[in-house]
Amino acid sequence: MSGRRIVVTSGKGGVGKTTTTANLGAALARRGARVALVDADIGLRNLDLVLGVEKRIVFDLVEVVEGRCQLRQALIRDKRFEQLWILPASQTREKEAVGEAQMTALIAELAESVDYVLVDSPAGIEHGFRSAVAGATEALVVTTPEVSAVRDADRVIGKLAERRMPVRLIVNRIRPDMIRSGDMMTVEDVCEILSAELAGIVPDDEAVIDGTNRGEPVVLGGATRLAAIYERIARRLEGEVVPFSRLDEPGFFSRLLGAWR
Amino acid sequence: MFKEFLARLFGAEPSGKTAKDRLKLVLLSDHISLAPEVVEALKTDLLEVIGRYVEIDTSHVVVDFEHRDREIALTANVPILSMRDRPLPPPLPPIVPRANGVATAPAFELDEPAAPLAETSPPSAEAAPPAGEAAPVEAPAETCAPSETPAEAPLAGDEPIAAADSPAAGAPAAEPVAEVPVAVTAEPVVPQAVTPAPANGKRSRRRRRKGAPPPASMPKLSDAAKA
Amino acid sequence: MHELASEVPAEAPVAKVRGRSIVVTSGKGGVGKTTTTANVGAALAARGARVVLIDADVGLRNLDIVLGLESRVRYHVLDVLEEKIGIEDALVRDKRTENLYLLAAAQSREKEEVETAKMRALVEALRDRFDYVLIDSPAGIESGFKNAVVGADEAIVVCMPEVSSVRDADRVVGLLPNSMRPQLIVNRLRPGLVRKQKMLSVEDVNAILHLPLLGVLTDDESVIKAANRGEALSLDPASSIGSIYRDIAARIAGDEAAPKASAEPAPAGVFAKLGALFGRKR
Repeated sequence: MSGRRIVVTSGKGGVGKTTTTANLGAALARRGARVALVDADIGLRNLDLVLGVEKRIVFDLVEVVEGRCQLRQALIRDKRFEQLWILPASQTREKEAVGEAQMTALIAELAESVDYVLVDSPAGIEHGFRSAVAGATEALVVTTPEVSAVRDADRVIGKLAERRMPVRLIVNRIRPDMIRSGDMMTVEDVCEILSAELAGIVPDDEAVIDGTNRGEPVVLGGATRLAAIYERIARRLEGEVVPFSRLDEPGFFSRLLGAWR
Repeated sequence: MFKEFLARLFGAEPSGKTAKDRLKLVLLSDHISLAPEVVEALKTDLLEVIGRYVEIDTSHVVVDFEHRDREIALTANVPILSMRDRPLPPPLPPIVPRANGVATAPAFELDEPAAPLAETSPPSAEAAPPAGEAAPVEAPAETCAPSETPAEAPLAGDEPIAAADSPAAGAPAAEPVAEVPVAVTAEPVVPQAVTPAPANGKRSRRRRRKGAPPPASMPKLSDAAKA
Repeated sequence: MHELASEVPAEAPVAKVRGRSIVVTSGKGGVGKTTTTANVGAALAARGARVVLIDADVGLRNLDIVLGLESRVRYHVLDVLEEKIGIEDALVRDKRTENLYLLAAAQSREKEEVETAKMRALVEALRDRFDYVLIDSPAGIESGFKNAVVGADEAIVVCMPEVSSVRDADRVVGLLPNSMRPQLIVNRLRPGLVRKQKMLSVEDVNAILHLPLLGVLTDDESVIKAANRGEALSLDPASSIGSIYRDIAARIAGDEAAPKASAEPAPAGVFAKLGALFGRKR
């Protein structure tokens, strides 16, 4: 039976699609799944950087689609995890190099060999987004509790609904202290406005910046709070009912505050 | 941050709430602009309802959504030409023929005998609400849809199109509807004593208001059939 | 709508200097292009210049909501390009600043529907009536970006001190014509993390990008709050982020009194200032 094909998208840029793809993929792999991550941001690749495999790229997605290499030649195995592969994007080509039909075929082929294909979509709703979505049968929409991000997420959810694609929501980069003081929308506000099923709530955390700098997904850190959160998202994705953690516990708040200042 | 604290002290709304309120409005506005067909259907239905009470100049109607600071409002500027003596009945629900091709009779009782119907062409006998597949239609008490002919009778002589207009305008998915009014307005039906209508002479005088444009200004049945 | 027409500057007499057209872009999304366009535009207008902001993010418009003008938008760029409406009728005047105008993006259309040649012509036409035409580019390097760039003479590249952002900015600089003389704004810097070497410094960023530095902004909650409210911080005299944007505007305007852009920005926020007062280690 072929694996699940999930696109991670958002509309708004910079809300955490790539971070989510990398860490969720790693979390799923940690739980024993075979996972392939696909960077669909042709021309502006970043999944490789976030996972620290940028120096190991030999072939990329466009070359696979153009038949200049085999899929398995382009896939980079991340040996830090049991079974995690990355298919990088091209850095020099344009998004028009890959069409929806080609992407659908590629993702389908990949899904034959793994349990999960996660496709990291580019920002926006242009050609690149459409190709990224074409290959998938489910979507994870990432947003932050900020007006522009939620507005864009709404547009994207509408576009996904047109394709009858099931959508789950990840609310990223929340700041519990700002929520508490009323200066940031709550997760409930966001869910109410977008009316999508919630898959995860992820706090803003400097560890993400650090991880990206070093090419290490935070999940690698083992027993950190973020690692636990991504693990719970992975479990929800697998169908388990996992309650959401209380992110406004005093210990958590002071830790965040300390990190910030 | 201090400023924020002071603002809250004096009752200013926390920005998170402002954000949520603004977002809801802007998304409503976005959704409206993303569904032009729905908006068109809304406008059509709106004009149909208004047109039952007053005669309107459809060529100068402006219906729009206004996004104001704290709300979105539907605004309609509808030039009125004249007041109707009595409201037109609402449109007939569409006929959905059954598998065997025959529509069934309505689920409710008729107030008046169907005798006038029997005298008009056979399709009026089928001027009934959807059968079989569709859910039972609730006809408004004041307008017995199948006895449309008698109810419309006072108007039929002068404004035959008006009757045709209602079902057409009210049903965006118009295929079955087109069949219904044809029978009814095939010829002006001489009113029987079914509705409290005055004698012919008086009626025609009442019907024709001064300055009222001819019925031809209303959307035509033929337009509806094409739609 | 009528009053709007009379407030917009009419066709200029021959000797007038044409306005400048500047695209604000980044490659990476979410780094602050729209916030920068709004704030720099407002600051320039507050200095007396006639400024028009164009939102080139068709389908995902946000410049309107960041300025609190979302309820006033009636028409958009595509309406103008398709000649359904005149420029004057499509321009939305800012609530607070007299000579600041917005030309909104279409929300229910696609970026591919914008014709490049028409976009260029529109920007040219606006340069005749405004001192500054600022174009808010969408993220990415697809057609939306290309159409945002097409009418512009100059460019501002916004970059976060973060590897993906720097890499994307580098790509974008490579795609801009050299004649545009792109300048750099580094946004969402966290000086504390830079000191702990957990974040790239401005020097690190510019060692890769090699661009003249226009300004550096720190990461600040006030930006989120201002967006919640739909207010430009550069119009708030008490805002430290606002003051940085005002300095940036002054530099753009060639104001010699403007302080030079510094790679070490002053810390923003009340607590930071208090901390400095009591000698708290940051």
